[in-house]
Amino acid sequence: MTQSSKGQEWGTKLGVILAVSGSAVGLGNFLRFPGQAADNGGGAFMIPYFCALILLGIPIGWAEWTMGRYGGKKGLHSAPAILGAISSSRLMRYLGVIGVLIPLAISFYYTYIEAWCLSYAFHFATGGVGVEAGASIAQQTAAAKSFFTSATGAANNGVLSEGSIKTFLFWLAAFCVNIWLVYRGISAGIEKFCSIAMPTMALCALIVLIRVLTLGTPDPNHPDQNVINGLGYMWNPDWDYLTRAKTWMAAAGQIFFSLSVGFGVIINYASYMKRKSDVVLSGLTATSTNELFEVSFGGLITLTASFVFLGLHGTIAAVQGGTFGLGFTTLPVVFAHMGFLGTFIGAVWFFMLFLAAITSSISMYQPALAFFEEALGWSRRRCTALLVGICLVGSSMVMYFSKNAVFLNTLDNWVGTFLVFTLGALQLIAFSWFFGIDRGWEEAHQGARIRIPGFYKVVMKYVAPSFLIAVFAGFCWQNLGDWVRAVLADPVQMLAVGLVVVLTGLLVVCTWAGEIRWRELGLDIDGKKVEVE
Amino acid sequence: MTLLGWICMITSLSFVWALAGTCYYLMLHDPEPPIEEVHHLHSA
Repeated sequence: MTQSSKGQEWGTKLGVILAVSGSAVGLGNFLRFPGQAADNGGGAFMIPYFCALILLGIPIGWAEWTMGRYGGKKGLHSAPAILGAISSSRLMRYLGVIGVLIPLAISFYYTYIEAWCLSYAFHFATGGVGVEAGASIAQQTAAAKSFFTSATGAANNGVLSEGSIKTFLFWLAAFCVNIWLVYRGISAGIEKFCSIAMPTMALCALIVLIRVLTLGTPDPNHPDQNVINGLGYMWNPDWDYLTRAKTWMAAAGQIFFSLSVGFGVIINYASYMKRKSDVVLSGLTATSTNELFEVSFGGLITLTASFVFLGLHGTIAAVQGGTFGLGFTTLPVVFAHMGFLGTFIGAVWFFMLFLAAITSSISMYQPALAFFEEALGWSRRRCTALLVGICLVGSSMVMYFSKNAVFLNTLDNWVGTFLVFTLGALQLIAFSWFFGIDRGWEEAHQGARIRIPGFYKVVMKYVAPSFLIAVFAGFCWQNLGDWVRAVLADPVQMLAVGLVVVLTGLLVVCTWAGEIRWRELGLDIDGKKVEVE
Repeated sequence: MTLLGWICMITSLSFVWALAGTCYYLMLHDPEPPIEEVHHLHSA
């Protein structure tokens, strides 16, 4: 078992790609993407979606991969240290704390959602979630909602005292697995697990996809509710949506969050690559894997299945119910209509979601663990204990303040959205402007088998930062005022923001301690030394 | 499903499959870089 970070490195090229893809492929690919597409012009949504992929997702990904490997060459693995070295700026080093804060704070609630998936998979495997096949759709939806409310403690605060102890146990199991995998290290833990989990996830998705595409017209009384029309609901284009700014923002947001850029994960993972590894091809392959899951499985399964059994109005209502509504309330109703195979398909589906979630959540713990080891110089065991302590506090608060998931949503708004945009912009600016696009270009191509097309220099320096800042500004304009007012009016939301502030303070102190330590060790944290290849 | 719906779906699927296929082909046909000594904090 790996006991320290000394000499950690990815074992194979495929290993790092599957780990980064695993980090990116999550619930959003299967549940958020189809809702966003159907809500924003169906097939027409794919035009802004692919534009955002080419102009935003791929270049930011390349920048992160390149910066990560550059930091790894200098023996640096955390976002603060790497951003400080890349930009030769102390301010950027401290702003890099966001790159540790984001994955750590998101892990507080993400592992809890992961526990829901595990709980649903377990219940489907052992008989279902109480949705009766013979009941009316209204009764089925009520039963599914009731199960969800009970499993997540959404009715009242205090999940541990509301009969939801089972969910707590599922969370505990998921959390222990996460910590164990991260503690085992990059190659022996994360890489080995993702190398098994990713193909398993693809197999599970394929089983569900085949079942959905062979549903035909299950109810002869509703001949219009068939697979082809279900696909049409998702893919028929409405070109009018292309003239709306909201559509373009939704596409940019989907690409941004789906690829896990701006999360502080890729920069950490890439820092464990070999010096001559191909970051250009690796970055593109990880991105393409995420797109494969999102478009092929997310785009064909969820809404098609919903349409076939619930019809147009039921599916529209499902999309309006958001990611959680679609995943945890609508789909159990859909599975109840699939006959004797329904519970099996339900178990496979939620197990797949669990795998998607766990490959993402381990990537959230790793950057924090690497940062504590690097900044404090403690043993891996001691840093893991610190990480567990912090996560227990954060996750306990998420689970205790479970009513309507207010605490969870507040963290998701401020950390999972606002700070992610901020870090994405900071990273791109650090790469293109502080480090310099020409230097970055040269660094990216070291060991690269394919060349990045020349126009990406302009994209990375001007287009992507402008695009990102414009989307971010639009997003703030639409949401920030409401969010601030909501925080000021609600003590639970204030507590969530307070937790983020305290955590930020802790990470800043660690960075300060790390700065002293790194200088004593003679590490090139200011990026002054030129690499001799 | 309209004709344009089919076109959108098939084009999108073809794009992501072609991109992923090309990337994995190139990656799996490229030799692994040699195992090397890397400079790490704890060895400093």
